[in-house]
Amino acid sequence: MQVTLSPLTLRLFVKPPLIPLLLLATFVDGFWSLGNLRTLAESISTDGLIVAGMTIVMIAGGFDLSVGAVMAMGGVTAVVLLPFGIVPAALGALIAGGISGFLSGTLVTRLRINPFIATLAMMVMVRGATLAYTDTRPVVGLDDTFLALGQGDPLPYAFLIMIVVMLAAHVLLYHRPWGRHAYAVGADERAAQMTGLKVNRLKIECYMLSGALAAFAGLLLAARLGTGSPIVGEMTPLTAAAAALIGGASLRGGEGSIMGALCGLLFVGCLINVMNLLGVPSYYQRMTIGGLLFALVVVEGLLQRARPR
Amino acid sequence: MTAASTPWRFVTPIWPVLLVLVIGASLLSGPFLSPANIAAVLQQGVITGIVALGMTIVLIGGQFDLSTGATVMMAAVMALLLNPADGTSTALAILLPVALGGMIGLVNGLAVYRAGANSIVATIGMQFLVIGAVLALVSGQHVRADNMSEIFVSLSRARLLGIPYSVYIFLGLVIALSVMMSSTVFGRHVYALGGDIEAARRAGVKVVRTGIATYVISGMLAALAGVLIASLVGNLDPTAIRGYEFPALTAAVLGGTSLTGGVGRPADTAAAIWVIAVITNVMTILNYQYPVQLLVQGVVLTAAVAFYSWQRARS
Repeated sequence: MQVTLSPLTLRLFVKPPLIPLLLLATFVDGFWSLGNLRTLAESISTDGLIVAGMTIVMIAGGFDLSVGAVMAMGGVTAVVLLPFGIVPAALGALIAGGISGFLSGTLVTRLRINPFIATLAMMVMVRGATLAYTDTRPVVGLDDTFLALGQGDPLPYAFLIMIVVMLAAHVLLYHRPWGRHAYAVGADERAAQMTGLKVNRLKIECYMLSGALAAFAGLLLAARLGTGSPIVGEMTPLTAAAAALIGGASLRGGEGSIMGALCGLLFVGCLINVMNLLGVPSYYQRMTIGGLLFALVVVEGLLQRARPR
Repeated sequence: MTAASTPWRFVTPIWPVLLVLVIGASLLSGPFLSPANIAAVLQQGVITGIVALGMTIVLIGGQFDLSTGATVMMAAVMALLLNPADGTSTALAILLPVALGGMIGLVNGLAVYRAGANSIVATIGMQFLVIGAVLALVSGQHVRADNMSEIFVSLSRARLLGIPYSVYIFLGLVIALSVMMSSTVFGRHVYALGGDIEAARRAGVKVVRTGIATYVISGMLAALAGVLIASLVGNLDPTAIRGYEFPALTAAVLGGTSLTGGVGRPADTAAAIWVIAVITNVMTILNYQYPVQLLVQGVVLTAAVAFYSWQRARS
């Protein structure tokens, strides 16, 4: 029997099973409480910025393993620059993230290094630089305006920012020529090159966007936690990749959407949130995310194989 | 004239680099050339080196294995939990972790070569799966083994001619794997796999089986490295044993192993391991801490990848 599901139904029930998960979560004490929903919104908002960047990079056929390290760098940069005012702090974080993205993009395009390896190397360099600069200790020295940025009532400011960024990214990808070009480059780089697209430039822009978003996520995280920590974000590239993959992005490029990424983000966020509510130790959460990512790429591989050429 | 037709084919760029570094290091810091420090440098390379040998073989086959750092940790913890006090438990503490490492490799290999999963992301997923499982098993606590048997301790502590046994184990593995890769059918099939997997398939290479074997070898070698750590320390904080996959990858790439497969030699990786060990050693002597070393490793990896891709583009 052939069952046909509408794209929206498919998105909400099967890929990912978001609504079934939410229904199951109803049985978990306190999931629907206002306090917990707020916690959920806070936790997905910083990751959300990163998922948006990761999705864009993946659509253009790349990948960014450096996002977690760049997030830590962004938080530290912002806190260090805070004495000069909140605007220089934010600009500093964005620029630092943009530069790191520019370097990743240059390694990928000009030097033709595999994006996973290029961004893995960037991850290690950025992490090393951040740890060296801070002497592996969190940096403090926050002012009230900055801390207020980590709050927000009734919805956290970070959550609102995430929604705005997601909308902007959606418009950029679906309603601007730049977005069409990103899909074209990801689907078939050679063809895109032949039609006259500036492939290298576009890819570098994608990595810069991802870097800047990750650094800004670091700023928001620092505002929420009240400190700029050099060690945050170890799991971030995995969570972000899992969310993007669940949302329909592909490691081979040319596929994915912001709406999908948002569903993937909610799915992963709720999963972690439910585990926290159930008091599951963080080790099992690490296992779950690792296993989820492993399963996702296996399924992706099998689907690619089954697809007729 | 190709490189393979000259008598110099055995000397890849990494060997002169090693030579220059050793000379430079001995000039730069007096204590470098002391016998104790040389033994320390040789030993420092062993753990990462064994992991890097496995990484090299997987890379030659055209794939990545970033789960090895987690396998090292798993094996070290497991060896200590098995408490190698007498003969039987010593044998178990060596064999069981290695077998489990092989199993992890098998799962990676099935995912990559059977299901066609992206090897980088799949093995990173596996890395977190294994680390999470091990930390859950020991609740993040220290593990220790009291009264480790003499044989188990001697794996890394006992010395012959002033050099620890583990260095000989590493050298033995380098020779064995070099022979395996250059002079056996299996080795040539691995090169074929990384060169052009479709051509290899058509030429009758059992692609899936050969590919899975590369992962099993990598997993077993990583586990052996973990067992050596266990024998060296006897008491460890599992969260501190991590991240071996990155220096291993750096070493393999620095040794000239291609990231796109088909090129590389275990002996060159060994040379690169000592290049890194010398750099790390000198930085430690000159009192640069871990973060700076991490930074330098990233720079070295990037420079090595850039150098080799430039070299290949030129030829």
